[in-house]
Amino acid sequence: MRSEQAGPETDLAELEAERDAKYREIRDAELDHRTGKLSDEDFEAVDRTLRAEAVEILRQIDRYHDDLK
Amino acid sequence: MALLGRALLILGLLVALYGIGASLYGAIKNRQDFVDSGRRSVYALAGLMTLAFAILEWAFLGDKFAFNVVASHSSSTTPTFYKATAAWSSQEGSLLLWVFLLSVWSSVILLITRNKVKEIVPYATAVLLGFATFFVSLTIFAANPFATSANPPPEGAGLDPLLLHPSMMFHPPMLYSGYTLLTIPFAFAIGALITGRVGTEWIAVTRRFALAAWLFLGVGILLGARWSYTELGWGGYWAWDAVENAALMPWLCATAFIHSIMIQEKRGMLKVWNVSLILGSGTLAILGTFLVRSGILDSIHAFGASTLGIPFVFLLAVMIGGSIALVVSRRDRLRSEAQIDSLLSREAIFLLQNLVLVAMVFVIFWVTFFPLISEAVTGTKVSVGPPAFRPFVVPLALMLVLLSGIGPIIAWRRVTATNLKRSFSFPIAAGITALIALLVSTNADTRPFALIMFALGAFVVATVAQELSRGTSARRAMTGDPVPLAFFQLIRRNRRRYGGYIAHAGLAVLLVGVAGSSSFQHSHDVSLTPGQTTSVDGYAIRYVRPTEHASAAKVSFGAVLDVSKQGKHVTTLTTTRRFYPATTDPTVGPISVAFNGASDSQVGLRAGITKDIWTVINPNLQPLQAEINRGDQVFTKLMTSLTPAEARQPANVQFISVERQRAISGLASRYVSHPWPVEFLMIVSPLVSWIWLGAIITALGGLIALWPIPVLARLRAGAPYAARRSAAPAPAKP
Repeated sequence: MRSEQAGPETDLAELEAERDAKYREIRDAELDHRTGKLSDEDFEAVDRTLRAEAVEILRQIDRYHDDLK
Repeated sequence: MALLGRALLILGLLVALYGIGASLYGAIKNRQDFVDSGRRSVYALAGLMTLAFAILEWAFLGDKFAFNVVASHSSSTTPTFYKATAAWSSQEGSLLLWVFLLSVWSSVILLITRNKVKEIVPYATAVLLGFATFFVSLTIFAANPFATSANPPPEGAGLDPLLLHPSMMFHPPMLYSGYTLLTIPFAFAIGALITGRVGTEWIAVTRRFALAAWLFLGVGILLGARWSYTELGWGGYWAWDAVENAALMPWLCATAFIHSIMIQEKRGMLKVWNVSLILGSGTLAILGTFLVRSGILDSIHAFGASTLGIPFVFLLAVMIGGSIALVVSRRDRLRSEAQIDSLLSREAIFLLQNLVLVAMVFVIFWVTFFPLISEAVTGTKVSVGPPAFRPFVVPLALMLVLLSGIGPIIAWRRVTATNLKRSFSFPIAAGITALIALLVSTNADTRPFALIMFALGAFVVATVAQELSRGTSARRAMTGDPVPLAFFQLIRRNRRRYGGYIAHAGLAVLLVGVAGSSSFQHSHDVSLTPGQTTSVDGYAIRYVRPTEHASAAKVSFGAVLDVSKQGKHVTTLTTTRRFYPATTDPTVGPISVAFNGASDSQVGLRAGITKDIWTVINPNLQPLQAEINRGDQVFTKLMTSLTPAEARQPANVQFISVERQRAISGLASRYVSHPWPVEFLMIVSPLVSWIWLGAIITALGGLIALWPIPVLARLRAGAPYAARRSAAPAPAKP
């Protein structure tokens, strides 16, 4: 997902930009599912993957804040 | 005031140079105070350029003919609206407009990013100020808008009559807004490459500027096409002219960019492709400006050969060389983080669409520059026209429309066969139905490419309609909203998606219009005398009567035409050809001067949703020539019979002026009293209105996609606790 470790302030901003993009992806996938572009099975798989990716980004944000403390 | 204007430009140059130095020093030494100072110098530059431009406007609106640009591009009789917009009809004024717009957009992006992308901003600031330095330098050393004359003329030469058209007055600011907005993501891409911060963030902050650039450029291009159709008198809207192509190429590149950045945002892919696209778009924007300013290629738009060519070539070389060096040096950091999961995915379709768009850019670039290359290699400059472009552009345009229909109905990452069938059934049925209906009821089969475009257009519109319908139904299922509210909220909450879909539909409508009007046009050159009738595409067009009008400003000859079909009156058309005085040519006789200057056409146009009926008159003035020559002799003899002192007496000046105008009016009236055969170009063209309608829909889609999310919604989306509660946001309503 990210090619660099979290570090200075700019890395946090990069992580937050990735987080926001991931949220949009999750919403888009839900909309794709509701409008019939994704089957239930495909949606579950995609949604699971996206949420896992979102969790990983959030963990990296948390780690960044922990490092600051 | 001229001195003040010039001082503002020089001060602007110094401010820009300072800003470059401060930004780079701040970045290298990690001094935020210098970075902030660099940013403030952009604001200062915007203020200085605003003042400078205001002075130029003041000069035009106040008829200050001491200013050379005002004397050469305006007059006291020019209408106020055109006086205000004449500022950018000149080389000098248009360069000042360029740097004014650049400084304004640069100020906006730097204000927005004052607490974001902090490592990238200083380098982006330096790049933007670098562009500003270049253009301000041009206005100081090569094309000074504040140059004055010690002996100003009592009257200006006036605006080129061809530019006395609202479209043509909005066309340059739209195009320049597009070009200057493209420098924003360009500059941030350079900053991202220099700092190695090539992730999502620089795209997130500049995405809207790229979209705004796309929108403004597109509007500018269509305004130019509209002007061509209604003003130039050749009956067309696109001639593949070098300057038209110069605006189209960055627009195509920007179209590819605004699609492919979605892939980088979602999947971390296509980083090299994206930076290359935006660097290419920015370079093409400067190339477009270069083509207009240098006159290096033959074009009816070009201002003629100038001394600006070499500086532009230098700038382009720096941009191209620097971009390539940076991309190569950062190739490790630009590696994709993922791969395309499936060829049946939106990512794959976007990539294919990008390849088609870039192929179009390549084709247009090559064919546009071929005359120059040919001249450099063989010494002979060849001309290329529309037939050179069509064999390549038409198939690519068909592919583009097809992909613009497929993209919206395919999901990201993957799609299964069942869902493909469900998503494609209706649009394919719509396309096939359109195809069959056209084959049965029209002669569309005689133009296979146009027929395919019509079918694909129906396919695309059907996909967008399907998407809007399904989205509205999904929202209704969740909220119980009535249909209109659900539809509105669907678009409001998903602006990027549905704005894009609407733009796709608009593009399809536009290209259907292009296909119809260019493939099924009926055109007829004919010579008619009053009372005579000709026929075009089943319409009987009768030349009812000639018209004329003579004033000190212009002489116009025209015609009233009656159009009927199967005996039923359809419309009445009027068309005129206007002749303006050749005031700057002292060798032209006192009567000839009224007929030998610039000329333009007022076309007779009846626009309809299915067909346009278009005509233009081209009156031959040969029957008047003997009388004109006689008038020249009489008045020249009269004027030379006076002594210089007598010639200056107001009573004599008035007498000659009145008698001269009476003679010109008398000559013009002969066109009505003793009419002779005149040439008409008559065109019946289907679906032209679909081009303008499609353009409006496309622009509307772009505007929707561009519209910012309301602040409250943005705050809700950013709330940290929501993310922690479910490890992702709660299921969102469509």
